[in-house]
Amino acid sequence: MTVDKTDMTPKYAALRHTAPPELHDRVMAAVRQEASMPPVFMIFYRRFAPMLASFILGIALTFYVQTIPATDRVANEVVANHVRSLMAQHLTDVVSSDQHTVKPWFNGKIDFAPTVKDFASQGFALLGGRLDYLDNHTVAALSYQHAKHIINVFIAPDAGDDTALKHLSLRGYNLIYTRKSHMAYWLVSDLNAQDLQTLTALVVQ
Amino acid sequence: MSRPQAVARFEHLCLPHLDAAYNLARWLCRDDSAAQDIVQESCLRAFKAMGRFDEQHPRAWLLTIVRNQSYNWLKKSARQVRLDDLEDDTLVELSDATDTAIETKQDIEAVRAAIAELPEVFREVIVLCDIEGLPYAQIAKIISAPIGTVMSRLSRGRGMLKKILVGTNHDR
Repeated sequence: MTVDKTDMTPKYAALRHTAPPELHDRVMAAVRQEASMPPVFMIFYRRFAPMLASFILGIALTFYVQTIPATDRVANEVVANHVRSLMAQHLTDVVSSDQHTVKPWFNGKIDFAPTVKDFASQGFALLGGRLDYLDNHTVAALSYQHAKHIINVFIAPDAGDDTALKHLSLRGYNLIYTRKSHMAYWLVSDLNAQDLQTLTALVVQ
Repeated sequence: MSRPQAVARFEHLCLPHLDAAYNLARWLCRDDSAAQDIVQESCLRAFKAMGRFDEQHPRAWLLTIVRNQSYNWLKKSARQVRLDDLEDDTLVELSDATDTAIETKQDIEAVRAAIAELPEVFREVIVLCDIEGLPYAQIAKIISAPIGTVMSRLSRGRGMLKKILVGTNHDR
């Protein structure tokens, strides 16, 4: 192809500007400097590394805060529910020491059937039952009295395996958490831990 | 590719065309220091893009960058003449008048001034073809236009050049 014939002497070759000699050195200096520069991602990395690190740390902290003290958070709710039940005079929706009155009362209000028993002979008298709200779920709440102490028992279904009793103490209240036969139990009271454990043994059979 | 290798490759492929790069930038910008800056910037860009370098036509590749950089500079300094502004649409027949016209130093200066007067689109094809001696196919690549466009612009540019030169001759 004639149009692709290269490097015939051009018509106006005499008009060609030649680069000043120092341009050669200037260009090479610039290229060498460019070659010694860290690659773009390194610059990016150095500039944004602190930001990235704090971002990751922030996310890690968020997950830490959200996941680790899950039971502590529920424990706080348990205490709050307990305190509220005492101060608002809303301890019970169904006032009865008769377990055969309390237990049917839950029918149609919750989708599980908590074990309701009166332990008056062992010193824990059933006061009644009510609905409460715990850890984003409607739960059954039973109230017992031991001497002058009121004990709240929260019962909710839980798919987890059985666990041993877990003792907590929060703002002067004693708490016991346990799981048995796919039911979770939270007991809370200003009662001493020993007596609370006695009731736990009775409730969780 | 290691860095010293890249530098060596640049030296081998691009540096021989530094004059061509400077010539094009100088002709397009009509400014020595701007042309030098453009050549330096273009060389840096060429170096950074060494990986996709066209080894077959390093000169055309470098000149493409130089041309883009020159147009950027022209746009920034608002010196560019738009193609739409041009009125003369007639193709002028080529003649030997311009070939014989540059025999003396004075004639060279006259042609130089005449080329400098041309709008960029014609000046660049004249510079690339008649000064730099690039084949049409490579010019087409550089200005990213079909060969036909290159040829018609060349022809129009040469015609305008001739007109200008004849005009100045008459003035004498």
